[in-house]
Amino acid sequence: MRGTTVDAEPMPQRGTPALRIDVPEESVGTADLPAALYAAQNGDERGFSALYRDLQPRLVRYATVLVGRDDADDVTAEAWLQIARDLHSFTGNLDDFRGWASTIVRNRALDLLRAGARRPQTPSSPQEFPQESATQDTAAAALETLSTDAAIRLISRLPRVEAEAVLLRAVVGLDAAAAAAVLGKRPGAVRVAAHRGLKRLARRVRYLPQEGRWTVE
Amino acid sequence: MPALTPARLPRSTTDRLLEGGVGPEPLRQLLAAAAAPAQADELGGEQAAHRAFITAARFPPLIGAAPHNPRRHNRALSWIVAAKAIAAIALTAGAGGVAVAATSGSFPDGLPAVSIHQKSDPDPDSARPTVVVDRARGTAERPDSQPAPASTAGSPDSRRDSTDPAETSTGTVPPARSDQPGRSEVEPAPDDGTPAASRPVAPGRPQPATESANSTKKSTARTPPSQQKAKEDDGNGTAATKKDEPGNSDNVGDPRSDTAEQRQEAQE
Repeated sequence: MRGTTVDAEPMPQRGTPALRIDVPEESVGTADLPAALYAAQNGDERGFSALYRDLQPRLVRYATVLVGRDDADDVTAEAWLQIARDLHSFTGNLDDFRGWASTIVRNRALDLLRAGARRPQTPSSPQEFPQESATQDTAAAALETLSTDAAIRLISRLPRVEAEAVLLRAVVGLDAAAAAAVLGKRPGAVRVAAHRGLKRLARRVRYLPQEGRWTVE
Repeated sequence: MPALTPARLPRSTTDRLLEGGVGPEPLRQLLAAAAAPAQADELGGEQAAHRAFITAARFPPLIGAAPHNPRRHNRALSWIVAAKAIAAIALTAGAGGVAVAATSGSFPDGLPAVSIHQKSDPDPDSARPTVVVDRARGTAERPDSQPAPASTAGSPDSRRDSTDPAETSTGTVPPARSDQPGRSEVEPAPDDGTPAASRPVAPGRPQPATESANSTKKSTARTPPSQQKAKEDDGNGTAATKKDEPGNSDNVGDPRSDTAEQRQEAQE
């Protein structure tokens, strides 16, 4: 699970008093998210906040691949309304919760696409990565400066199935089976799509040795 | 950059990259940038989500409320549609049966044909059901009883009247009249060209009513008081129904025979 540390402690039994979890800003993604999920299901606001801060950036980026950055906030806002309403009836662990939330976001995004026939915004090509001062490892230095928005835009230029497979697995943090459940496909098809997506990304990333920077075709 | 060529990206390598493992550095950095920690603009909707969570916690849905089940809903809809289809088929079949029954003998044009067939039976009692049918139809007797010999000569009813007046008279008047002796005197001598037998069974017709009223004035002196009432009723058409009744069979023929005699006297 990328970006998330899940402790091996057993889940607290239902019926116990709601946990009070203090989630500081810097600890988002490393908190005891299974406990936060349990606490949120029992009405604890802090547990819900911990879940939101961990999952919302992933969902926004996934929605950006589907509908573009401008509509991604609206899509995720509607998704969180449904999550907050139906969280008490949700059954499953943290991975199931991420898959469930991703499915809600995908459904809302597809509804938006059907309603307005909107298309996700893609960056104009060719786009150059921000140039970094030359070091001994020019490629690594250049990619380190790559912003999150630029990386998401790169992935958004892939075919939608491949982009969704890469986002769900590399950003949302789902395994192949969970991503397949979100996409309505078999796990093998999701693995193939993610593999093809990464190969396509590798073709688009070019290193210019004479200029000392990376470009994207 | 050799590490980024697609030929050197086996599936095992991409799987490791997707799970956060080692792999070609440019792709690993690209995926790391995509999965970077949250930015400030990405958490702008936290307050709205928090309010929705509090609202949902304060006002939970009813415990007994059944969750929405689209499959169950569709099943109920299919039952309703099936019931409507069956009802429509039943109504169509019923209406068709009524239409077939109506075309089998209830139309006015088909009625005289039934009467003629039954009149061919020599037994006078067999003609009684024909009269009952005529009386039950009430208004349906009008097309048969309308004389109009010249204008309706083309109609099948008038043709039957012209070819065989005796049959026509038995078909439109009560069968008790066939036993009346003065009946043969009435039919060969019509006053206005119409069959005389058709006049008493034309309720509501003004012309026969006035003629019969005039004739009753002349015959009041010769008829007994018990028969005068029947003659007076003949003017407004109510006598026609009374004549059909078996108990009034004696009174049926009297006004007609008296009228015929008076007409003969008037001709003489």
